[in-house]
Amino acid sequence: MRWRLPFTGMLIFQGLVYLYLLAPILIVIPVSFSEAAYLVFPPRGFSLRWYANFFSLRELTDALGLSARLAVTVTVASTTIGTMASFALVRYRFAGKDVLRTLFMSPMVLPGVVLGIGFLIFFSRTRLIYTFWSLFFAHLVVTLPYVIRTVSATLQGFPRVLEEAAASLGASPIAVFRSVTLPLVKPGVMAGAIFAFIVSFDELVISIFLTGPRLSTLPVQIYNYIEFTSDPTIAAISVILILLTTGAVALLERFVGFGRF
Amino acid sequence: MSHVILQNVRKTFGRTLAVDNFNLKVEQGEFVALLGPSGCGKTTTLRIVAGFERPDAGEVVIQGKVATDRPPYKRDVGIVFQSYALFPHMTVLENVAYGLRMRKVPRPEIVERVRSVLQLVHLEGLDDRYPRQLSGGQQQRVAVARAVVIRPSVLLFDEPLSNLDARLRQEMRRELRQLQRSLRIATIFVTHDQEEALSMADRVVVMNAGRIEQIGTPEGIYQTPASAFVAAFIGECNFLHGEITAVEDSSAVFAAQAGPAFRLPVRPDFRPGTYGTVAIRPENLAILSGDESVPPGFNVVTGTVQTVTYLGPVTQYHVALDRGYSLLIYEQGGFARQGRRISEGDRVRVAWPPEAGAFQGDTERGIGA
Amino acid sequence: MKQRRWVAILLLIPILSVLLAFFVFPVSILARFSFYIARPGGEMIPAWVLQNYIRFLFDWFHLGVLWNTIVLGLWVTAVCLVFGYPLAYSLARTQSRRIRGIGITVLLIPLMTSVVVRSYGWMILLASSGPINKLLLGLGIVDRPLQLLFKPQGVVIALAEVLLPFMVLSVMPVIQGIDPHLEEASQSLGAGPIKTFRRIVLPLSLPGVAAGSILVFVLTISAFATPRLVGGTTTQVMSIFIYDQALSLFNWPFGGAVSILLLLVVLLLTWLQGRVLEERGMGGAA
Repeated sequence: MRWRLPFTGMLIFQGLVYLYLLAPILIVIPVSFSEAAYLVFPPRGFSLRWYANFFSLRELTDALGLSARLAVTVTVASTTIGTMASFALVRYRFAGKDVLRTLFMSPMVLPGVVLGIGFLIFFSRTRLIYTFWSLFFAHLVVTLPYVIRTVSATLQGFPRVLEEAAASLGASPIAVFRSVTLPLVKPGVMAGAIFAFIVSFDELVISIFLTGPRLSTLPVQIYNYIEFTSDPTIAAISVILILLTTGAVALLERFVGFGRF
Repeated sequence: MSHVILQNVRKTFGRTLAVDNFNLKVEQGEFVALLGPSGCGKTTTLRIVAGFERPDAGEVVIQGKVATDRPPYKRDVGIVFQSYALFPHMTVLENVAYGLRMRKVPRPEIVERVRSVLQLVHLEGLDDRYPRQLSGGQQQRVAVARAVVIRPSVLLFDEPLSNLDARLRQEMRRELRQLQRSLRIATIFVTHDQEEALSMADRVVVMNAGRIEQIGTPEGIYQTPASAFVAAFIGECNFLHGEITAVEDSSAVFAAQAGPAFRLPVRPDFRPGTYGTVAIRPENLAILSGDESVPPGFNVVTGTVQTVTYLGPVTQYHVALDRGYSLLIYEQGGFARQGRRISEGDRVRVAWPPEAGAFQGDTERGIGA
Repeated sequence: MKQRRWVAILLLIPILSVLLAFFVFPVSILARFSFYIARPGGEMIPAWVLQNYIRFLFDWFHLGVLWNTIVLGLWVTAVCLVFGYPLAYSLARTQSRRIRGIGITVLLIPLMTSVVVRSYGWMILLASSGPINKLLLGLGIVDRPLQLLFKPQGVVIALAEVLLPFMVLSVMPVIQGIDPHLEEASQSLGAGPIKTFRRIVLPLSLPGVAAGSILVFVLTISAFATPRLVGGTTTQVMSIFIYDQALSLFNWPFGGAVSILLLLVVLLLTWLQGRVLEERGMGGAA
């Protein structure tokens, strides 16, 4: 579509929209290096003290450790369970598949507050409240839809004829799975795992309901910090988190390749 | 004992009868084509031999052993799929070696056999390429190499040439046939292209709506089609419907409804009043202009030329007969016909020998000639 | 391979157990609690009363919270449409796969960055002494800094940025599905680019627009962090209200009832979105 005048106008407009999209992310970077102990713009001086401050604050580093451990365990569990479920949904025929699929995807749809208060009421009736495990299961439930979505999409596009070819050449079903199915499904599974990790690591609302003074995740700690203090430590943490996210997206790009959409 | 036997095979999908009453014996080294329109059941039949579908009734016997209940990886078949189905995450070498790996052939032997097979299909030097780096024709050869290197009891082809352009297709037909001849493996080749079937096969199985219409050599099914379907599907045919009006010693007279009357070779079962259809191949009709003489004993009718289509080696004429019907006539071009000018609107005569007409009674299935 | 049903069941046991125990059950308990009687002081008495629901639905203040939430949803959806549609169109129609890939990457980075980080970024941007105000003052567009932070306007701006990728990713595939030859045919028949857009592309892209709008609306009314951080105490939306009830006032039954109401609205809208996508022959949420 070659429009003459509107074309350049469109390009400028799009550039502005992209800027709008990236603005909050970009702004924290210079602020994190500011010398001043309060939020001022433009930032004054250059200092790494806020990064150092982050690593010196016990609550924050403990929270970082918990978030990391949580994300890793949740990712492993979620990817395994979600991949198994995806295989069942895509490869097998049985009644009620639509109902099941809706059920599996619904945690993604429900408002975080609703799940939060629900988990609070539920876990407070058990011994698990305010322990690692309540967070684990809550995160597991919320990350499963992402895994199922990506792995199902990969499986649906999977050329079954390749498995038939392998079978015709003498491969038993297990051999077919190992040598053909698994390698070709790996990108989808990896993408699902990356989504699960990021979703768990960033999870805020539900975690607020399930954390307390002795046990907290990084997003919750950041949230609390913002509410009470205004020094740029948060900016420093934000930059680290942004780097983490960018790395994850880069990995995702490698496994999935966004140009194909 | 025949190499591959299909006996009374039947397969239904839900309420559709995909294959019924299928009986076929393929000998070692024989090339059999399954030919028919889309949906006729030819691919289903192939998949039954491969083991991807289980027949509802009947048996599949490969090399003397009943294979009906055996899964595909326990049958000794080599398959070339329409989409080639090359493993995208493996190189050419790994793709072709796959079947040998599954058969636990020792590594050095694998490499040697793969290399020699790749030479056979003219793909030397491409060992380390990935399928996406190859052209369509090259991918097709890799698929063939992969199926052939395991030395299967039977080779199955599922419309392997339909994704190639016309020129390449012609080349591959010859190459595949040569390859098959030198390997002498029993082969079943599915196609919807009659030219392909006729040019490559030792025998052709014409299928329609799940049933076998006719099994025969290419020449046999062309010259003596067993049914109106085969006659219409293979090549072109003129059909005239009518009744036998007179039976004499050496010939019978056939009167087409609202059309011309002409002679047919007599058959013992001919009776005056028998209704049926006469099929005449267009290349067996001669078109005569002006003063050309009619060969003795030939049937003659008159008509007006409707269309003339020049196709190079052949010229097509549609002639509207005086007494109803329009006939399609093929006339060979070339030196013998130079200088001949027949145009639309010309009055011409159409002539053919009585033997060119094949009669099929309304109540019988076969057209004898 | 399709006949072995028991394998399917085996594969589904883990996820079914997890979801039944830690999803269906908690939500059911939440629903159950919504019918309890809440006494001041945090006491909760098991009962089957509609008191909590009535308390929310028949009170002007509470309805005001609902109203705020809906208005916020409409504003954010509108902004996302205005900014997101052109982006979706250009990404869909770009010939270069590389550019589309880069575009999607730029969309995904904010999407996958923690919402706290993004909200914090907006707090900096929207402050009276922040870069946006500095820019507006410098360009002479205003002579006093705009009050954006801790005001509904700021929440709309921030939340629209957070949810913009969802709109783009909903609309883009729908436009990609419109045969580009249709636009060429329209132009060959005499319709200029704008007419072609109005008469051909826009109508055919409506399912994507509808799906994206519903998605953004649902996400807005569910939002917590951004309204809380950027809006401060001036913005009262449903999720913040529920949070306060549950964690500040310990009134679980009331909080639960409001949650269920929010849940029902979200479920209804999501079902609607599913229907819209089905009409086009695609299933599934964002």
